[in-house]
Amino acid sequence: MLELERARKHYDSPSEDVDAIQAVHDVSMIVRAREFVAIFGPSGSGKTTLLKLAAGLLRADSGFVRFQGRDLATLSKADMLAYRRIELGFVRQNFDLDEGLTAEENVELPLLLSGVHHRKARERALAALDEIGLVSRAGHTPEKLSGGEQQRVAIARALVVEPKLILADEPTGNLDSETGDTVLDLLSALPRQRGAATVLVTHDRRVAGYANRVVEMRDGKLTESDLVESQTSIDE
Amino acid sequence: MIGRLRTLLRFYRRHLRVQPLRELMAIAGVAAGVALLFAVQVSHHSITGSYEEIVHGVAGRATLELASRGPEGFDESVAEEAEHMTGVRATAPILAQPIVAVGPSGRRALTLVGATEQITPLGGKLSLQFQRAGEVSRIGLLVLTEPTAHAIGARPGTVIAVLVGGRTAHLTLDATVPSDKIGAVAESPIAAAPLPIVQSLAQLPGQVTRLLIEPLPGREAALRRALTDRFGARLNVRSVNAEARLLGNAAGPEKQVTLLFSVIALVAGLILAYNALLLASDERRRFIAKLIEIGTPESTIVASLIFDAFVLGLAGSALGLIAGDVVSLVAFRAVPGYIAAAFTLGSQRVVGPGTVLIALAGGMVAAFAAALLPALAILRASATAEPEAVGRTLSLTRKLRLSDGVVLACGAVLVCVSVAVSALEPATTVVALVGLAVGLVLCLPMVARYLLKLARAASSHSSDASARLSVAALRGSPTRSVALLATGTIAAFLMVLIGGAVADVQRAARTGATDLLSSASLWIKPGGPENVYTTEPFAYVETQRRLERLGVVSSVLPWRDSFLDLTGRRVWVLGVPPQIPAQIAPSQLVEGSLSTADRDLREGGWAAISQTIAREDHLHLGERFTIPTPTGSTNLRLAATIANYGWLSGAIVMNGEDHARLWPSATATQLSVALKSGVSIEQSKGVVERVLPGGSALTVQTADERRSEVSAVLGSTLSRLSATTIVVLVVSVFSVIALMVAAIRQRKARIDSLIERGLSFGQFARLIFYESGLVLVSGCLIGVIAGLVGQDLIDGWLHQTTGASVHFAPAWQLGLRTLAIAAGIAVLSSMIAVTQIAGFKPRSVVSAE
Repeated sequence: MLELERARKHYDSPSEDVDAIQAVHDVSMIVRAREFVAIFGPSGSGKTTLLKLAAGLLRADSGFVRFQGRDLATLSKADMLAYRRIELGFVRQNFDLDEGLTAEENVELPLLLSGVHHRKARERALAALDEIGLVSRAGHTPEKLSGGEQQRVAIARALVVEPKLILADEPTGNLDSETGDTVLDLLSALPRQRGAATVLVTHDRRVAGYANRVVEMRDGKLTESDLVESQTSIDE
Repeated sequence: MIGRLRTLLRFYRRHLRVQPLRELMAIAGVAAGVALLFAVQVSHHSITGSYEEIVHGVAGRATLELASRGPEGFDESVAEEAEHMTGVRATAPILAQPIVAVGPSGRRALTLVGATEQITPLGGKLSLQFQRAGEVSRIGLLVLTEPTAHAIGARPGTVIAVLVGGRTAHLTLDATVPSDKIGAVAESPIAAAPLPIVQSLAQLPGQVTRLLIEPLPGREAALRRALTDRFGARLNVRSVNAEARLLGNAAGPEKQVTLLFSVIALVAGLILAYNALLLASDERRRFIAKLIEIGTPESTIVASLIFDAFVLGLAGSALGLIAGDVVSLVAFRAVPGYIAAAFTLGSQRVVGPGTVLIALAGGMVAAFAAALLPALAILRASATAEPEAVGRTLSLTRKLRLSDGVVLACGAVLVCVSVAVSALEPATTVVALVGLAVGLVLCLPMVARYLLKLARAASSHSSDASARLSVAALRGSPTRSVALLATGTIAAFLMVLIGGAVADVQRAARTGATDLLSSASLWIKPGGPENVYTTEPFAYVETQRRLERLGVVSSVLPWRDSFLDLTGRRVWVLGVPPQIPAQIAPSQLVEGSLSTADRDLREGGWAAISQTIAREDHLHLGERFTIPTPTGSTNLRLAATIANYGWLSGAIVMNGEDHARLWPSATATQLSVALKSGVSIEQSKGVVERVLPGGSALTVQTADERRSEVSAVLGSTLSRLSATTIVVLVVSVFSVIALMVAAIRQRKARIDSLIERGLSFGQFARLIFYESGLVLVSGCLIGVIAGLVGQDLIDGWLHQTTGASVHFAPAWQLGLRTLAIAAGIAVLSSMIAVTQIAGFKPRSVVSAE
């Protein structure tokens, strides 16, 4: 589904005294459908850049980033827009919900961006909220939801477009461990039920343990971790 | 003390470094208000100020004058008689004559003052310089100011054509008075020549129009009484400043509307500054919370807020004064035609210390109001958001806390009371309009809340993600929404109020002119637009005789119009030929029967006067009243009350033969030429021009041409304020765009996130369009409605106080144009927003490592 082949990305140095930063260095990896991959590593290891490459937000200096066989670098603007709208779902550490919208409206938003009629969007949003057990909170704005609820709404929003790939950034970073576990349970179960792959970035080894494959990233390079295949087996 | 000041400076430097855009925009907002306030003040004071400069420049130490009641003046022997009266130190006779000087490269309407050496002892700066310039040349003919000579392309020695009394004479320019000798008065449309020369030019041998009198110290009152006893029956005995008061009366409505506009301009400036200060209120809130957390004394925080407001006021006012100076130069230089045609006014700007102080004080008030209101809100928010950390709230903020409902109620009451009071007592309209504007602004927070509720309900039934996001953004930033709403409201209110009222005044002038000029196809008068009131007499008999012989002409009738100074006002007297059936223009009739009044006027001994004058003197139809004329006080009967024919101080219509009897003269001021049916007006105009006597300076105009001229000049009331509304519009546009751009920058992370999730540029542009358009158009809609109400009130006030036949015609088109402009601004905002966002590199979907 998602394939990185010898992908490289560097950032220019802010001054001549400092060398350019090799954020991603010759990274190759494949993420298959229904797979839950955790990229584990300390700050500055390049995992953020890797996720940016996967989302098409950055273009690799060399190598390839392919989604379902298509090189992201060759996508037109419209195709890239469609890729982000339909194929990807994002879950962030800070939830990133729109404060002015209710939970239901936040979940509807990606559908509306994709041109789905508002009635249909509402039905699907409510169904998504129902799935994560928050349909009773559909009319509440984010400020009236707890952190865990907000993150669950964010997961519903990511899933409502039925994406093929979920990108999650430290999704439990702002949550206590009990709430975090609930969120991780959702992230590990729901996408797979829908046939989607999940790539989760974390610096927390315990969080990485929820993935069925863990890759460790250090200094822009990937190394397979001893946490590999710690959980559910992959269908494929 | 110094230590605290240093701390305050350090805080301010920090704000400048962190939020330079906010500070600059706030300064620009205050500056815009101050600029408008200063410009309109300067423009108004320049009208009366330039006149006073001319009067005192000519009269010097003279404080009394005898003035003729007609253009023919009075016998100069009066001067000799007056000079020997007890209490007189010096006298100087003057003959003032309107002329048009035509030089090699232009023409200029001037007042030619003829004086003798007697004027020198009075010490008038202007008189002295003209005298000296004439003496140096030793010829002693025509002296002009340097700017005037330059404007018509003349130099000493150049022969200048002087159009006077329908004739053309030629005079050699003798000398010019340099600008550095008399300062800004050099811009005045004034020329000088020896009295005998002017008497000869005007064909008024032995006549003068004014006698300037300098009384002995302490004798002024007694002398005035003696002069009144001796000459009061046929001449006006008055202070030399009396004409300035007449001018003040004529320009009164302009002054009051100027005052209104000044106050509203300041409110607009305050809103713009307030808008800017809102831009970084979150950042400032955090800063204050931090200060409170680390134990900064309350007094230091309050002092810091006051210091910020002070710097804002000072910088904004200074910038505003500079900008206002430019605006007054560019937009307000020309004197309104309807006043310039009746008074000798210069185009110089008079900037008194009072004007500067008012502008500075206004800027300070706006800055403090704009800076302290959000600052208090920030303090409140800081205190309530982190009560444990802060542990206390500032007592002042608690006292000032008011719910939106209370503010709405106050605003609504203010709006209703303002409208009701103005409707019941039109004299209070100007104050009421300020009340209306302030009341509107007070209502806006609650209006915004309900508007956004409605918008939210509507957007929830839309499939457009941009619509939903825009409403969410507006709801998420209520202060910015109110700021945008207020900007639209105030801008539209001013545009419709002023634009609508000006249009009504112009329409009234057009209707009056059409009625007035409907009796003839061609009109003949001396000079151009400067003689719009046709008060310049000319010998007409020979011209009339020649025209009557033409085959195309049916009749040629002499009109005799003049100005007459009543107590406190200069009225326009129209002497209508008795042969004309419609003596009163139908559109001007206020009270009485048109047919009866026309019949009475044709009979003679009757007059129609402006309702404002009749009301002041408690006159009723048929009653006798007295007016001072050159032949003495005269009794006439009131045939009807009328509007004012476009002259704000009022008008009197009488039979032309009565006029000729009371203003004894063999002259007319214009001729109306009726053509035989079926002849071409344009061709006839050429025929008429060809038979005018040689050297004639008369202008032949078709009724349409004359109507355009009259409409343009008489409709110029309030027209300068139209220029100001453009300034308001431009400032509002910049303010809205700056608000939107700043809002986009503040929401950069949020917008990045949306773009990452697939928000297209088109959707983003629509988002900004909806966001700015919704509140801006709504604000404009409120402003347009309030503006229409204000237009009605201001029309009523103009009608009531000036007697003008101004009728309310709702400025729908202007309102629609204003709404279209608001929509245009929203489009522009969205386009600018796209260019802003196009440069952004979307932040990562993940947090920074």
